[in-house]
Amino acid sequence: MPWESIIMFVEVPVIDKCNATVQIQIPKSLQVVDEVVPPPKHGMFFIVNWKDGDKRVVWDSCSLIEIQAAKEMFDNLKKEGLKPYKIGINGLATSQIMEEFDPMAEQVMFLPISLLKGG
Amino acid sequence: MVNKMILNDKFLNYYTTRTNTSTNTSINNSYCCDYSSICKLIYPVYDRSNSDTSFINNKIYNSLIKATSNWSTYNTISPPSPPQLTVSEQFRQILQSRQTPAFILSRTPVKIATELREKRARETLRRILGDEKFQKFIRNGFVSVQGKSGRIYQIYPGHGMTVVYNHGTPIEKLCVVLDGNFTPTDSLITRYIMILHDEDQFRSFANVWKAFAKSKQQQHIDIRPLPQILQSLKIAA
Repeated sequence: MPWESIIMFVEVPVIDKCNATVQIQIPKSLQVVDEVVPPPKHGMFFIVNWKDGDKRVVWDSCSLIEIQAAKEMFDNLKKEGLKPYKIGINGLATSQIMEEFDPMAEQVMFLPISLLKGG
Repeated sequence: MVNKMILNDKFLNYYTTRTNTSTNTSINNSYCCDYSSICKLIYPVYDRSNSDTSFINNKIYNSLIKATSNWSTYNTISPPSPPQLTVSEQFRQILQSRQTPAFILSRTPVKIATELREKRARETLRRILGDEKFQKFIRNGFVSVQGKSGRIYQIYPGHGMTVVYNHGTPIEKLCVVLDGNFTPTDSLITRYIMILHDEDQFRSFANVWKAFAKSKQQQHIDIRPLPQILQSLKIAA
């Protein structure tokens, strides 16, 4: 069965003080991978969630369709409260939050900051 | 009237009750005395022949609390002395200290990940830290990150405390957890990136605890020959 016909989701916990999760559909034009390094000329989303550890979704930076789908997913994840942090050169973390989707960004990490609390 | 005394090796806590007959109220006071500053506590004992026992004050030497006294006799309490070791026990301790040096690890290395989620999270952490820092994390069990203020944060995976260092001195401990069934490394990643981005916001989430630097006590090493040490212990005993 081709992967395009499989509807894939990523479950993200976004509601504070509650175990509820939200399923965000991964657009069909994007691919879910297991590698941490994106292929050449591809961007990657790391979505931290408690079901998978982190889900890795890649898009082709040269394909307008995939860029559009990645932007749509970016907006959906941001709307649910996940904070997108830009990962810099060679995958090293930076402190930069992406306010808007950057199609040339290599890697973006979505973190559930709203679930941080004092222990 | 002294209601309760709790003795430990450092502090003496005791509670007193005072009754005022004119207002018919009782006042409970609690005091804590440091044994290093005072070694004796003097407290009153009721004089049975005295009918007026309704109002009793306490007087403590070398403290700020002084009041008029109305007692006839008093007792003293000395601090507890440490248990005495026999000559053979002392000698055994010295022998053990001279044995092959033990490998004392102050750092706890990270355990091997068995869960798939944790393995994936560690792959991600390796990617964002780089190989060198990731190896230090595996060896030491924590990640150090310098914030924009110059302070260094020592982050442990899971629900561990984040220790804040300023010029090499620990100043506080921040307890911040990631609510939910996340892996320990995911929690570390979240805190790491949060600190990189905004320390003040990270601190606003935290329960803050004071941190104290460990005092480096110099141990006196007895390098005399063992027969000489044994002889001196026997003489002292």
